[in-house]
Amino acid sequence: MLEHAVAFLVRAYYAYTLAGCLFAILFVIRGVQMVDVQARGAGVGFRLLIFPGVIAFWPLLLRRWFEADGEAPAERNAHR
Amino acid sequence: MSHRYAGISWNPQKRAYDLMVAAGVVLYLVTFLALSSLLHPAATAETLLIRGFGSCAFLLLNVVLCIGPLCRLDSRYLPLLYNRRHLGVTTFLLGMVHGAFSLFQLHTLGDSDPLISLFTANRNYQSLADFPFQPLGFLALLILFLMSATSHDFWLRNLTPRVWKSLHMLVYAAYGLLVAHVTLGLLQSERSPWLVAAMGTSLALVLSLHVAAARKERELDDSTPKAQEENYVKVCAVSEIPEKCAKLVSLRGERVAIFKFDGKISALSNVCRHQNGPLGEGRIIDGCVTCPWHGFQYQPESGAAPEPFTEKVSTFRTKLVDGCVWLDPHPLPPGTYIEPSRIGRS
Amino acid sequence: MSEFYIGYLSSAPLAIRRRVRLLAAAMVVFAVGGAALFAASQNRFAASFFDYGKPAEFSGSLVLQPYPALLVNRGMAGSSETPYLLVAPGKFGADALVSGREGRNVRLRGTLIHRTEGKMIEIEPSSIQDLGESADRKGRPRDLGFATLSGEIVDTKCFLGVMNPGEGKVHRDCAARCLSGGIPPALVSSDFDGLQRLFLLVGDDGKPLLKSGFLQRAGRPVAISGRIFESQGLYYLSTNEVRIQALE
Repeated sequence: MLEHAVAFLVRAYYAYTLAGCLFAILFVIRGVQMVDVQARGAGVGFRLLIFPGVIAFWPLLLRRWFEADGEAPAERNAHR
Repeated sequence: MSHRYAGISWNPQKRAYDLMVAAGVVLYLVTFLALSSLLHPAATAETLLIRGFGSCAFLLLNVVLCIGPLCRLDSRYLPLLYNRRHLGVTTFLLGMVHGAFSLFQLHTLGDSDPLISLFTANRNYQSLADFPFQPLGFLALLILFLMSATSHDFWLRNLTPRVWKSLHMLVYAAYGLLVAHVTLGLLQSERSPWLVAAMGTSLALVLSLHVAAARKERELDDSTPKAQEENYVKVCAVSEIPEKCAKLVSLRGERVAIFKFDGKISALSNVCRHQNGPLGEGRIIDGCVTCPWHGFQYQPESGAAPEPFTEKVSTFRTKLVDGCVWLDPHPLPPGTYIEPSRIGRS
Repeated sequence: MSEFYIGYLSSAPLAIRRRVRLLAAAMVVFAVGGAALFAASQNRFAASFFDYGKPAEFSGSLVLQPYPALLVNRGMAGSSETPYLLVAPGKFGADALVSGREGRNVRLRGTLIHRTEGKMIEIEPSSIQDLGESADRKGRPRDLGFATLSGEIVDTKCFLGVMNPGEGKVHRDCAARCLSGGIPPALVSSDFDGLQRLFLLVGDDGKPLLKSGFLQRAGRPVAISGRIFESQGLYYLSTNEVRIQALE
């Protein structure tokens, strides 16, 4: 029982990470400057640094890429 | 603050900081490895590397966690906070070496996938003394990975500061997991009371610093202004505010920083757009409010960063009555220009 | 007015610089002191060895049951044979590598694993050369009586030297993995004659014990009741799942 549940989660984790890696390659080359204007013209160092994070947060960035307007998302707090 | 991202915006202070961190880490590892192989010739290199990197990461995490409250208590420690993210990333990298070595050593080359083995090799999840401690380390490492991976300001902007801050508050979950990881792991098989004492001391230090800092913060939040008329609340006497500095007041769950400079009074949100740093603990430098954490700047009259930067914070209306500052607690849209109240004209 | 630190300026105010220097010195002491404290307070490491990267040739006669072993005669006529337990690379037993060769004389390459409690060879797969039927007659197992021994269940490969420490809580997961892969299980105990010995665990029928019976008991204190045998220099404890009791 434990074995099956863990095996399922671990496979899901591998699949998520693999998909993230593939997405991240495209994203740091093409997507990032469409999602965030401040990334336009940014160098290789920046693109490599955000690579691991893109693997982790790829579904979020995929959505932002579709809705890309170059502006950071609005934040809500008591003063904004 | 930059209007175009760079990998790391190096400057002399960051270089000095990183050099110190690297020297400290190397010193720790070399001392541990050399002394261990001298005292324990039979020890295998893998075991010593696993222990060296793991303990170094854990100690560094304790240091990282002490920096925040230390700076709340005494601003002279702020240089430690300035480049804390590099300290965090270093902690993760050391932890990753430890984790990768351990996973390879203990779980690979067997009859199961290493990660599946990590969670299922020891199944005594119902027992405390026998609890599988390795999955705890894995989960903590996952949190440290997410934090390191999102430490660039790109993530701060794109996850929004609030989400980013929440994600990075998970460091406390990671710390808890790691305390359990060490207590249920190494401390179960090592017999030296020194190790237990070291663990207890570091835990006590981290906790007591946080309690002390929280107490100091609470005093501030409890001093909510009482007097109120026509939408304005009375905050403090003008004389209470040091020149080019701010007095903080807690309103509606967020703090407002009231700055005095060049015979004028302006009020801004206390929350820096960068990492939610405490603007009210900053200074007016070159006519701009300067955040004590990373030096982000805002014009006090409008809450807008000087060109070409684009950060904006909310401003508040103020008035002066009989040498006292009164504040309209309704935040104005970030970047709204408000004519400062002039001292001696009320 | 107290001094104010701005990280991106080329240097910090004097008072802050002094404070940071003091802190840096404290960190150096902390790093060296912490490392030394940890290094010095570790448990003693067992004198166990894995001659990794230094494979050697071994020849002798094979025993397959209950656990594969190579009996090496040290040359002198009449001298007793030294038993070397056999395992495969990684976390696997050697059963598949030596199957069908019961009682054969072989020469093989492998890496020596040794500790006072016993010797073992990690076989290089496909290095086994068959040298013909062994002339040696196997001695009968000596029955040493029924006893209850307390100690820890270990996987013999790690315990004898592949890992150090190859026992205890930190190593428990690896022990479970190794035992699951067919590494011979043993109880480490000094209850029998005062010497710390390895007792290979076998079932009441003398065959390998069912894994489900001991896998989750590895790496922690247990007491096991059973009949003790000695055969070709190896000790065996013949028991069953029910007679393995957790101790705390």
